[in-house]
Amino acid sequence: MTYRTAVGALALIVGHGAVAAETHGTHEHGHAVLKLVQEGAEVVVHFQSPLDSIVGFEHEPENDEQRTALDEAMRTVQVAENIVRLPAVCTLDGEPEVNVPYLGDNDGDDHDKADEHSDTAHAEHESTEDGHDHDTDEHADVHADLEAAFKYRCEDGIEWLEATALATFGGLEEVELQAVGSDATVVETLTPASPRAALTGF
Amino acid sequence: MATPDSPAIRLARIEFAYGDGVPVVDIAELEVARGERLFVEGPSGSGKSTLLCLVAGILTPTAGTVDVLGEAVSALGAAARDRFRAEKIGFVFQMFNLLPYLSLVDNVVLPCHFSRARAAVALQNSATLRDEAVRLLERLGLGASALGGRRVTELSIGQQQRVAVARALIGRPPLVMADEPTSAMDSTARFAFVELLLEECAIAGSTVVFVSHDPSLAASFERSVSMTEINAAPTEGAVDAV
Amino acid sequence: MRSSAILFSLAAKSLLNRRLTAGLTVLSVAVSVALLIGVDRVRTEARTSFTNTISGADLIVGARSGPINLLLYSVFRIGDATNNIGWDSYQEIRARGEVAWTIPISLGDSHRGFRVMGTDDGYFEHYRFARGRALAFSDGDVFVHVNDTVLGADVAESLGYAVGDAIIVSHGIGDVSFEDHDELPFKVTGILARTGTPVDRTVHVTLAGIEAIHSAWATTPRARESVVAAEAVEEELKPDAITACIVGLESRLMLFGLQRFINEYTAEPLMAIVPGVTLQQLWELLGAAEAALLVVSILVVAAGLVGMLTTLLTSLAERRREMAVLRSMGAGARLVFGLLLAEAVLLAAVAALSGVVVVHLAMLAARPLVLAEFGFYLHAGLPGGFDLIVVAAVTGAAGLLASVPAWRAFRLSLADGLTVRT
Repeated sequence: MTYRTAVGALALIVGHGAVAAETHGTHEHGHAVLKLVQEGAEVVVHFQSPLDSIVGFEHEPENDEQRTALDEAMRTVQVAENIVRLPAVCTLDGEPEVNVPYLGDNDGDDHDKADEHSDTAHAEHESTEDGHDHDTDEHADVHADLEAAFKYRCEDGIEWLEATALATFGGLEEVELQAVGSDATVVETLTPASPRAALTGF
Repeated sequence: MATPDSPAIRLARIEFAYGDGVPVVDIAELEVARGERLFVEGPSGSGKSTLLCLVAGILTPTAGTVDVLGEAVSALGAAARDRFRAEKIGFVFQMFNLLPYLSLVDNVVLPCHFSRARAAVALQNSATLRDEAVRLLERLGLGASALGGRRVTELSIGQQQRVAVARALIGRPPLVMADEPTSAMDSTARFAFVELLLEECAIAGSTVVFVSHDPSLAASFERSVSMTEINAAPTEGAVDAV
Repeated sequence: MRSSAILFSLAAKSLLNRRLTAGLTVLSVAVSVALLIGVDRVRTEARTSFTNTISGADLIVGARSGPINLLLYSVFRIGDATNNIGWDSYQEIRARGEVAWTIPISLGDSHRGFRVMGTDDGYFEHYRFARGRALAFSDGDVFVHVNDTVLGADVAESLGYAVGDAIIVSHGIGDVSFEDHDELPFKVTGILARTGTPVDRTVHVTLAGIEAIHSAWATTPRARESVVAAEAVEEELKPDAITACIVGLESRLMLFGLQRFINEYTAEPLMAIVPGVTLQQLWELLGAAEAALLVVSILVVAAGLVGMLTTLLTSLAERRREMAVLRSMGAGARLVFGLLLAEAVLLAAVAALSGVVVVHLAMLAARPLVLAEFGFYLHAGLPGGFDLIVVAAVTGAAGLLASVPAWRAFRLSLADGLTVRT
């Protein structure tokens, strides 16, 4: 509950289950999705990544090391700069909305749900440790995604965006950017080598 | 430097060999005076065409010097030789003298595009280059009425050769060289053509070098030399395939 | 010296003299250039046209399938839906606070080869295309009754319909007979102004109208009255499902939130896509095919140029005499080189320019066909930057290639001198 701020837009965007079903679209390890939407001066950015690419596992923590990793991830994704960087005309507006699966205290409402699924998630994960593209298998559909959403106010056009998550998390190979503004749409695959996208028309 | 009293052509100890090194032309001396009409007789392969190329600066001798109108042509660079040829020399070949894609008049005017001096001289006679070409063609019996705007390829051999003469003479080059221009004609046409050529060259004041394998034409010329006599090089291996 | 002037004048006259071979060369290069420009043109036109087809829509909702598939069948009328959205689900989405408006889309029927779309007033009010343009009526007005219909501009034009005409809608897609549906006549109440989008090729009826086609209602006496307001029979002809719907939001900031809600909707498997994002994904998908097509067309141009090179090389033998004559008049061997180069450059420039003209004329001619088959509008615009680049590149490449025969001619004329040695 701590991070559920009153910002309506963010509250809706971030899911609160531990397990992201295949309804979310692709869940491909190493591949995160960064969505940006602009309405006037308001900008919302949503980051969603397989948990595995952030902490190296995708199941209920089994030891202190993994629990520490989840705590660490929680601290990291709350800082917008670790995920995304926008031009100086944009300033953060309000608290971020974050969901780290299997982390008991980040969302009381859905904690039970997370527990409920955790055994399945765990069992499934044992066989797919190799980190291959999971969504090719219809039945291996229990995955955990980490999510974070940030709200900005941008006093002028957003000229660019940089997916700093690519540098923050070594496990990320690609970030698919989907940016929707009033006059333009930018879809681009960002990589550690070129983490920046030009947002012309935003 | 060109001097007015220098001969039209002077060859001194010239040798020429193609890449294989076998000499095809080896002439100790040959001099042609200004305004002279020289007949060069020799069978095919005697080096006649190579001689013309040397005088025209298309080829440079492997040894010796070629002076034309007081200019040491053999010492000039390639571009200067091309320019010299454009200014000073008119050519008539055995056949296929004309560019098939140009009109009669355009064929005759063509040398003036390569030489300003010849264009300038041509414009002393007529208002435009085309007028001068038409005038020359008319003098050679190729008036518009006779030809009715025919294409170059529709002319008879004799007519084509007369167009070639008009082209060689436009802008009055000081030297006119003819390479077997009559070999495709019958004997009556041949003599008439030679007379016409000499007459027009006389009017233009041009020196004439006329090369042929046919000794019967020599009578029309002031002087006649035999290629086999002046050329010390063996006749085999010479190039004369026109 | 006016050597470049004489060069191009000689080259042009020489080409004219060989107009048959030169013409064939020009033709082959022109066709290849037309192909190259055509491929690029159709590609960019398809993009602009697709982008212009829908505007101002935040989400498109349909049964869960591929995002691109949903976009194609809902907006571009390409392909068919595999599944529907339940009416209740549609009502639930429609009632949500984030949603400003919705446009229901019910597809599956046709009229003489044109698709029939069931929708409601929201369509005429909210549908936007070409960066925010609204639909306009060139004649008549919105449908009111169950068996009223509003026609797209192309439908009215190619079938010769006017407001007040009666038409019969049949079930299924394709140019089939009318027997399937007990001949419920629809009355044309309005004709839309041309949009340059698939709207022009759509027959619009009310959702109740779609139901009426499929139910026994058509045989009831009321149906014959032709004046039954769609709202009056709302309950009677309530659809069970629609094919898709377009959603406009109160604030775009809700976009990804609502998208997530719909994607996680539990009552039935639904999918919401952001049209702009999915279009970009479609371009990405098509990118490889486009690139392949572009490479093939470039190869065809190369083949055309090599053909020209061959023609030039073969012509050399018969032109040695011509070169010797030019040389005798003082033309340098460089002029001979330049002459061949000039011929190639002239040929290529003429060919490339004709290619540009041909492709633009062809696009003008193909416009109705492309619109009918692929649902996008080819704007036969003025030649653009790409055309200029192609003309310059083809001409440049021709000059480069022609330096081979030109160099050969240069060497030959040096060796030949005044007499052609064979």
